Amino acid sequence: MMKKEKCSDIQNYIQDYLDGKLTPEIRAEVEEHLNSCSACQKEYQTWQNLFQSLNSFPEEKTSPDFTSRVMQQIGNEELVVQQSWWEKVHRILTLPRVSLKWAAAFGMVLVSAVIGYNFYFSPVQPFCRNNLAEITFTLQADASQVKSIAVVGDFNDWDPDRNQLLDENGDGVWATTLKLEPGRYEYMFILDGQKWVPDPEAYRYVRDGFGNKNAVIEINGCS
Amino acid sequence: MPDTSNDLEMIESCQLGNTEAFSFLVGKYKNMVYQLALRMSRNYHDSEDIAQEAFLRAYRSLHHYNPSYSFSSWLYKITLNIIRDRMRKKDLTMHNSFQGQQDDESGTSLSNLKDQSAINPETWQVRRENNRDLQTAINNLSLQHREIVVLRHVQNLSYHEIAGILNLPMNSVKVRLHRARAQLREFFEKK
Repeated sequence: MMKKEKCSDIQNYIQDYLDGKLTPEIRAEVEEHLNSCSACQKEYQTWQNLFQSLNSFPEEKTSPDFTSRVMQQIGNEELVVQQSWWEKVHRILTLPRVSLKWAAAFGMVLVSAVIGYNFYFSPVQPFCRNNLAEITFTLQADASQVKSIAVVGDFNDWDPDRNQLLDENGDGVWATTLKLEPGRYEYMFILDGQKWVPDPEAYRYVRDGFGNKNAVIEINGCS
Repeated sequence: MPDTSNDLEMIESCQLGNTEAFSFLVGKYKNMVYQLALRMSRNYHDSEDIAQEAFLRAYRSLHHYNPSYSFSSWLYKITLNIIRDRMRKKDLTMHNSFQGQQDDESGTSLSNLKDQSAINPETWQVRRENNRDLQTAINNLSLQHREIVVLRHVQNLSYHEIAGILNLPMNSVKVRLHRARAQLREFFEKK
């Protein structure tokens, strides 16, 4: 009778035994019982075989070019962040179809671009209400050069009519605040309904497949 | 378990814009991530795809990495999330005989399986291709049970690490693991 009870106790310990999770005292008790009980020994053997099979998976390796493929995908997603200020000016002025009008409008934008890039990789700390983050999109542009600025992106189906930026006090800072659920969004600004401009203050960019870059904003939940 | 002492340094270097530092981390952990994906998805092509996606997600959210977890634990979490997402969307050709069963904590038996070769429990004549049979057995576990068996026996993680990755108390890790193994044993003993 005593032995029977003990058997079920011992058998309950077998997995822990094989996992190395028993205290030395209980471990010794189990071993002592196993030495003299063939039923429990059989049970132990069954479990031991399962454990051995489970622990015998061969180590598998990725294909040899795995790392380079990952890095290439990362390279495609990211544009170079650490450009010099002058390289940025040069790049924008030599864009095709950039007229002087746009260059002037961009004048203000470049100043903020330098500051923006210094904070690359800073996390966005949104203000949240009801699990919606309030995100303010801003762009500096000379009001005499630009009539309208819209923000388009994943959050509004890239519809230029949905969200307009406004410069209410005429100081050249155009802004709008949207309430967004946590997530990852690509977006751009559109000037006067035709000129697509990436947000120079974005922390991250992605190539859009048409030779332009979309800005990316990630809102990682409201804490 | 790889030496983790350089990881934080590499991550910080990455965060300062040194992308190459990330390739060091990919090289170091790629097989670990791949192994998890492979044992969970059974499919070589999907597994590399999942592993790549895991590193991409890690790179994109590097600024959210919390150093109180090891980088490897963080990668494991990301990988499991990708696998769970794909399971939900049924993107993976994953064999799951428990359709619609969310929580397998009750330990349902695997009696409805057909065409599964049985292993003689008395002699445990596990064949040379036992990996294939074992993989079949693992594939027939619920997602939760599969995860924990793979983390423990393929990835050789401690209860503590598993608890961190799965967000479970230690005791739940033990209970779930025991039940998962009991399911596997039942699978092998069924004729």
